[in-house]
Amino acid sequence: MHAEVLVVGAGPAGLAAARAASKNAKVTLLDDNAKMGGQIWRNRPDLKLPANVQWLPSSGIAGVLDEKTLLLEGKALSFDQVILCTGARELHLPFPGWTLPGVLGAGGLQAMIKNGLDVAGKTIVVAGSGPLLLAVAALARQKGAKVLKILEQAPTWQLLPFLRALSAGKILQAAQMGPQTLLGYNPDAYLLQASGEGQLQQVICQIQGKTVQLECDLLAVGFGLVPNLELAVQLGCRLDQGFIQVDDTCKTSQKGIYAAGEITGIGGLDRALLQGEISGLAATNQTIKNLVPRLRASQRFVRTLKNSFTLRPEVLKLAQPDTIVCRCEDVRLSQAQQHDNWRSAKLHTRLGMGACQGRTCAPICQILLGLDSPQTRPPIFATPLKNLLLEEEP
Amino acid sequence: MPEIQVNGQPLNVKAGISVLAALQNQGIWTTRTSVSGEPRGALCGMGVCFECRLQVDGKIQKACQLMVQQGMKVVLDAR
Ligand code: FES
Repeated sequence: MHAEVLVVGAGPAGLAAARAASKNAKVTLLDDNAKMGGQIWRNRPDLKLPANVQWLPSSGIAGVLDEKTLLLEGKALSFDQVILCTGARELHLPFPGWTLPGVLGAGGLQAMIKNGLDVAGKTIVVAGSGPLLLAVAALARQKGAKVLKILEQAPTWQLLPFLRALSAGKILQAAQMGPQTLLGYNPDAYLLQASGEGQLQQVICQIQGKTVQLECDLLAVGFGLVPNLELAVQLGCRLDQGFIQVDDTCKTSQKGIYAAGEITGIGGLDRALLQGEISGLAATNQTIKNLVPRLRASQRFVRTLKNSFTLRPEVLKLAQPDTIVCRCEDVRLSQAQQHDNWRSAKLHTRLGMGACQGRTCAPICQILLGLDSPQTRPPIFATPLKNLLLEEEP
Repeated sequence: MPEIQVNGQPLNVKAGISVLAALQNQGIWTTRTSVSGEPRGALCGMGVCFECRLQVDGKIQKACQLMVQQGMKVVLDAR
């Protein structure tokens, strides 16, 4: 298979990139999900693609064959230009009880609801940091759940720059989420632990200095986002402060490779759409001139988001010595702590060697213990060996 | 309504939902047992954490990214 312009990831950035590029080229768009829309538009029925975009759903990328060829499951896919829109995943931070069934990512709960989980009548606590918490709480309420509390670890003063940076349109949007949106919203509040017999039953948290116990069915936790860099790094793209380095045209350090959306900086929907459009236009030699000033403004929003939701030291100290840090291999904090580098921890404890290949525990160990992991190695996702074999010659 | 099998038991589920949601709607929140014997359930809902992995039609797959289909055979806690 060959793509003139390949777009990897069919979230907002990827869809915008595919649309813009399709005005001047044939585009192939792929995603590892069955439907397009990404995290934010997951399962939205009204998403449409222009006629000359070829859509490849449920297409996991197993690896990189060379700088212009990817390996899908059993098939090679080459391209002239590629636009990487692989998005971000949630940052999880361990606390006692975080491995109990019923403890979910905040984005995780959002995705599960959009994929058909019925939360009507369930009691839910939402905790962590960032604007996602409010969106998740609003969605759960809209579907009939009782959201007891939304715990935002940042203190009020730290949130002010974020509120000031929101445009009038955004504020209107938030207001439309319903007058209930802010019900139970507590800044300066964080989890201490979750507990239950084989399943989540209660959480203990700290709300403005007071310890509070809450009974609940589900706990949705998100401490922000980390970019999905695996593919970009394997393609040789340079990083800048933990994100893919791009210029004003969304070009990476590698020829013919563009990147857009959260992998270039956590900046939300508007920025993802804008960068998607810019990358699609730039990759197909169309003009982007009038979009550049808006891009600059969106970079400021990236910084504001980062500063407003900086994590407080307390939430980085919730894990106890016996708290699991690597869920795939059941490695506990005390075991990981005995190593001063990722490689040694891996060799001695199997940290990061399970099914998720360190996707969950590597950011955790980096933040809590300073164990820097080498970004990635093939395969990109754990996959049966047969998927690494080519059925046909590229 | 598609019918799937969970550990050999027939189950009618809504169309257009994930295998994970189908199980959770039945009150099944534990998808696997960890290497040291802890119950575990889905965490990320988006194909990243692998905590939701199950055996579906003989293959280990991520329940959160798999949509239900008529006749699917789901085995919980398979290795
Ligand atoms: S819940 Fe994380 S991979 Fe399915």
